[in-house]
Amino acid sequence: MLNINKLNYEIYFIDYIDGTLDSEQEKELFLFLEKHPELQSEFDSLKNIPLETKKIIFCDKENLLKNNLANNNSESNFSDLCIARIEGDMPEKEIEEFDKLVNESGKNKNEYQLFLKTINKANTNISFPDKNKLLKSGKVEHSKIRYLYRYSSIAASIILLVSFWFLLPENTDNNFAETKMQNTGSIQVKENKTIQKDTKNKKKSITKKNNYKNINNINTNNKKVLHKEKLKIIKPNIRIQINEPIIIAKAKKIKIENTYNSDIAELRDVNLNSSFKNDATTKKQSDFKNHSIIGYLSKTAAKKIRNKTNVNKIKSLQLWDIADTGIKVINSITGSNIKFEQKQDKKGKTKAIHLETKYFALNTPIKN
Amino acid sequence: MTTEQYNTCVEWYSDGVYRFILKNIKDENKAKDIVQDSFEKLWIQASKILFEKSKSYLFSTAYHTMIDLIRKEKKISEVENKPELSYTNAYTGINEILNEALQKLPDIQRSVILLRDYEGYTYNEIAEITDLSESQVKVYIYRGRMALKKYIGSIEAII
Repeated sequence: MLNINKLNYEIYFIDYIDGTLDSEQEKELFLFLEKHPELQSEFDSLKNIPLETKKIIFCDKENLLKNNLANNNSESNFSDLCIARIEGDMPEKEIEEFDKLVNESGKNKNEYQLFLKTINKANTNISFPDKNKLLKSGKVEHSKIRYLYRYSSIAASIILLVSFWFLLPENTDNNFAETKMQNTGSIQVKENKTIQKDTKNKKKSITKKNNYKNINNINTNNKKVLHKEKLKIIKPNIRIQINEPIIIAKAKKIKIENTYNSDIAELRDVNLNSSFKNDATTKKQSDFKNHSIIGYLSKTAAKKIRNKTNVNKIKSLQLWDIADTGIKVINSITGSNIKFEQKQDKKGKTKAIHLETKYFALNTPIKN
Repeated sequence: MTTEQYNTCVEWYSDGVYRFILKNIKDENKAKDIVQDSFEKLWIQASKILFEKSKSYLFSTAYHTMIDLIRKEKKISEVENKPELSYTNAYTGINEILNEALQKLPDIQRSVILLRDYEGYTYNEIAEITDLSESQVKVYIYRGRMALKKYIGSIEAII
């Protein structure tokens, strides 16, 4: 502590009263007071202030105690105890004490009796009348409808997936695809190619030779003819012929008849690339803009799947096309024999649809 | 759960669920519908539900179906806005008074008290059935008991 002076003497005074000054500091303090008698009265006034502590007691301490039920005899506390007693929440130690408390006064007894009356007793005469209707005799199993939904959704997914696979246009220069087919070993592709050129308002169809190519021998040129067959009028045509059920694991032989269509390749370019490089594709660009992607897919699918020869007459993709193709593929993959037939009248309008599986058959009339 | 266990559930719990619902909504046909609906749901889920949990599942399903029904019919009332219990009828026995008092309780208080008294469920089990916290269940039971006691006491004083 600094030496006492006129600036810090108050600290010395307070410390002296608190008794925190040592003997030397006290001597220093009194020497300072002798030198400055004008501060003696201030010092004396501080000395006379009593600093005794009073004993402050919390009066309601007993009410906070939990180990004595007799002390909890206020009205609200007694109600709490009654509820705790009838609800079985009261510790066993307190039950005896509570019972004594109840019997101490008539008021408590009546109060407790009222709480006892709030307990509901089930009327066992009331019973559920239709119990027999609830009883079951079958085995616990998943709902057949749920299975049907599950399998239907899986089948629908496969159908859509496979359908879109066939909807995708082929790339004539796609060596990768050919290589993939080569790997299957014995796939034969029947290729028809039609190129239509529109020059000076004259439509000229150039028909190329109908070639059968052995995929094993296809090179990147893709135009090499290995086995010549009869010349045919070229039609946009794709047919999938499966000689025997495909078992993927065993990689059995598949025959595929394919039709090249330059329109498809060009349109795919339109689809994949937003820019167009030549006049032909510019025309397709305008076509593409005028038709939605669904329209394009419908047109392509109709050409490929339904063997439509006249593209211009093709209107749209029918749900039938997707379902029919999907069923065929499922049959080929799984080896099952699901029949999905479309019955038509003389005018060619669909009258009914017949679905027949191993487990069930469905025949639904269709209104056109 | 097997079919036998399901049928045991029907034998053991259908009466209890029916009484619980009937006491709440006072409509036999609706109570029957709720019980049938609850057991139908139990049957559908039978492969997933353990037999030990079936009672709780049934009461919980029935309770929530009942609450939905009450809400649809706009009969649900707010706890805070529930009017003071009144007594105007003439009673012949304590059960009648108690039934009358029960009907005047808020739905949630009535349900938890009935689950407690009829089926002897613990606070925790009631909390699971009603989707409340254990503390909320305790509070609702406490308030319900206080209200019932007040009502019964007042009626007895008059009689």
